[in-house]
Amino acid sequence: MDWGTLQTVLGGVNKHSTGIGKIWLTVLFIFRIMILVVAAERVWGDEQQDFVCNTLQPGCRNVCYDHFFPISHIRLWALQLIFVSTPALLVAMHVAYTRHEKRRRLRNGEKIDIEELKNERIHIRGPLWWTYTSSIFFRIVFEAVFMYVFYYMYDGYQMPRLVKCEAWPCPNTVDCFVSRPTEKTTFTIFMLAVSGICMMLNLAELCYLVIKVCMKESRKTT
Amino acid sequence: MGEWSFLGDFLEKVHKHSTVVGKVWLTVLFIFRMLVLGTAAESSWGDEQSDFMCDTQQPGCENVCYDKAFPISHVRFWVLQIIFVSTPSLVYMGHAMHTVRMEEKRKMKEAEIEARENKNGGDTYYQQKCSMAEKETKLSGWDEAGGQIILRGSLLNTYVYSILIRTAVEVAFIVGQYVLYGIFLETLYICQRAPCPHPVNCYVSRPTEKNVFIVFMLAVAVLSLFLSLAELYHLGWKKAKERCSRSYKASPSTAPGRLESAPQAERAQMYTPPPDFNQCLSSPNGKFISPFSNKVASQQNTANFATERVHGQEDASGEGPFMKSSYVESPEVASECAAPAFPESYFNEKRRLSKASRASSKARSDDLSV
Repeated sequence: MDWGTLQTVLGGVNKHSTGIGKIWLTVLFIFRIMILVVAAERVWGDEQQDFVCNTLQPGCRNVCYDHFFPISHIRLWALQLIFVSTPALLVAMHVAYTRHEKRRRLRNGEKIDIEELKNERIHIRGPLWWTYTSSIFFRIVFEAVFMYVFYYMYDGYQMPRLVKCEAWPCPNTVDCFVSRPTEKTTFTIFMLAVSGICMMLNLAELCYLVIKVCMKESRKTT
Repeated sequence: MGEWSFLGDFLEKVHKHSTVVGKVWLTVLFIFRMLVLGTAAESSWGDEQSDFMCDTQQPGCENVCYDKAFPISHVRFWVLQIIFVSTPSLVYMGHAMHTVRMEEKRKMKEAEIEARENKNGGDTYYQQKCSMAEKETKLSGWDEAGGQIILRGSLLNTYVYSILIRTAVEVAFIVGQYVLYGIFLETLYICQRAPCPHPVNCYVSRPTEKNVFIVFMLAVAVLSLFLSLAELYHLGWKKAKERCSRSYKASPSTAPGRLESAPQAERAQMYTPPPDFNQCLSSPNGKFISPFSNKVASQQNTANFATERVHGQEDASGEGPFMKSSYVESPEVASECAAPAFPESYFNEKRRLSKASRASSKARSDDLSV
């Protein structure tokens, strides 16, 4: 999977984020995407090959693997990371739109400095504040949803060593053994912990933005 | 190595703003750990499970025995080690960038204030000089010419803490590796775990090659640990030396006062100077007392004297361009001590003595020639 493109796009958003947003982005890239690519994909690499069932019945192993792992952890994490990063693209689009508008005004003859336009750090206020805040809200929602999906699909966060399978064409209840369960459990818990941290960061950022606006409003009224 | 580019990009920035030893540490990390892991160790461990053979026909026995023998693969363990060991540097980098950003904001505000004052007109000569001095002020943590962050105050503390945490994490991982696997891998692993019917002989794939890499990675981890400790010693020793030389120079201090130029309000106290420029005083709490008067002419004189002295020792100190710090306790003492009677107090502060020069360490074009 090519995560470089995502890095390029999100790198642009980084400029217009709050401090907490920048920390979130760093955590996302180093503790989630990098771990996924460098470590987790290797651990789950042989998950079907080394999924062994105590039967000679052809097809039984395939069916049992499919029954217990409808979607692999790796793919679920990839989806989670994509969904969680997508709201930031909304912010990037809004910033691009704002810049486009400014350029249009410049062309129509208003005096705006081009250099300033290019290098300007757009402040999070007005409609951009709403876009940014809703992007953080959606991030939180997606994180929570995926955490729940993991819990629901795999009955908790621990990878079992042995699963008992009764799917057809297995003739009876068959013992199937998962490959590298301890290592998989370790990484599942690690990714869960980092998801939790990211969610905390998003909540903190949301609170920070809301409080900042409230303080500004109160200063205006006084 | 492409997969490591996420971390690599961040660490490149840290590389720019580290001490010499820090740079060596980062190079060791990049080349001897990341690169070796990515290219060699990965392929050596590639078939670790497929070629883990157990002397049994019992289905599932190999799986469970492999899982018992290797709860976490060496390669993944080293990946986590590298990431956790790099993290403190990233925290330091975040702090440094934050400091730079704050300084830029402050500088912009001061420029705005000055512009407004100039617009209003009717400034006294002194105020104009002050505001010009403000404009010329270099960021107290940022040397623009060299593009380096100057380590002092809270930034230095963050740097030291990051090295301490890094050291602790390194030790934890080395100990963890020893606890999990010992030092060497054995060829034979005897396994008894359901559904294996009895104790079963299992054979590890490529044990000798793996042992070579294990020893190599352990040695590099120890080397990194040593480099971190050396850096700590280097920082601590300089700080202690600084403190010793400061306390040696201690003399009765004049009463502290504030300079009339208010914008430095947020900086630490500026003390009224003694008559003799050459007396570099230190207050009991270790801060320098600037021997400046509030008159601009004497300010420039002191700057000139200081430059004359400092330039004399400047070339004596052998420190590279990477670390520009005198490990001053309080970065907010903007006017530094003028008389380096004890040169070791100022390892690399090339120019510290003009009120106008804040933390700048390079000569400016408008300096009067000495």
